[in-house]
Amino acid sequence: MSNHLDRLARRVEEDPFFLACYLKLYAQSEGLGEEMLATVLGCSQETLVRLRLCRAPEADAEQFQKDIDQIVERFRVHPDVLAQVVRRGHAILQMRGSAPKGILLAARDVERERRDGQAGDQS
Amino acid sequence: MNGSPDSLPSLKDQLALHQRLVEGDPTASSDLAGVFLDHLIDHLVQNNRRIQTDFCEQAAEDALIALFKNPRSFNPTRWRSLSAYLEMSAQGDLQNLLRQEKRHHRRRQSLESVELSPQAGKYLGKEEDPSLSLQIEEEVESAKVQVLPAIGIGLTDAELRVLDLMLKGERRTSIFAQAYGISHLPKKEQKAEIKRVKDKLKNRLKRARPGHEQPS
Repeated sequence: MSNHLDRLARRVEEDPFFLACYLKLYAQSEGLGEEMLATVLGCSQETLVRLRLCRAPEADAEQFQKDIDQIVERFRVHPDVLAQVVRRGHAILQMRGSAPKGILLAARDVERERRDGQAGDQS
Repeated sequence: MNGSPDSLPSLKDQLALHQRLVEGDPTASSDLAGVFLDHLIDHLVQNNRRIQTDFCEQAAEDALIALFKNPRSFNPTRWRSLSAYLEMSAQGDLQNLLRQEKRHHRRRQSLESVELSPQAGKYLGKEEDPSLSLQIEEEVESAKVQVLPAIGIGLTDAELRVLDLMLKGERRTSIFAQAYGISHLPKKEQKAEIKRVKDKLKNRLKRARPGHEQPS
């Protein structure tokens, strides 16, 4: 893994355009270090660098899930944890007044649809 | 990665990567960084040997981030390859960074000279006003940044290398011949061919200059 990639991944940690920003906020809120964050996501630390450089999922519910799926498919991380990372990051950013609008609603819609789907499967 | 074009994906694969970015694939930025970042840094370091590596790294990052946020800034119909576009964009970003650095440096110097002067700036007249030369320098750099992307369109990689050298003030024909890939030709032919390419590039520079009127 290139040190340059690691440096770039660190640089974009403050930029909500990149997943790096959400991963950092999630790790801080959970008190997780690098290693633990990778473990929770189910990936190596090298993959974590690549994950940071992904674009953050889009705001609208449908696109949010599609983006999560694409990232999961590419990097084989735990989908629920990743969705939680993005939701948590957005919540923190929104509290700070710097989150892209609509993302929390989108994340909630996805969550609700998933729960409804599970309930439907059980009945 | 050694930054040589051989280590880059084929033109077709470069376009496919860019297409993923345009289509909104959230993983495309990560893959593009993996493919191009080291190459761009090496390219800048090799072509700007007097510049600190740190600036080259930052400029390469700037060029990639700009593409991630505005994927359509690269138009495949106008550029020969994504790598050529990124190299030119990173070179422009490097010039921007250097301009900013010079500005900060001069401001620091200016403030220090005023602060240290017993007369607290009493003798800093028009001739010594740092903002005058800075203003001129900024205008030149700004013109370069505006003009560079327009010049590069449609040029071959070899021509872009010659352009890079021209902008850096290189004058030796042997260096141009090496960059253009004609070192094997007799010196006379090298000289004639390099002159032809440089004339072509100079014409482009003239045409791309802000305020230049196109002949009707």
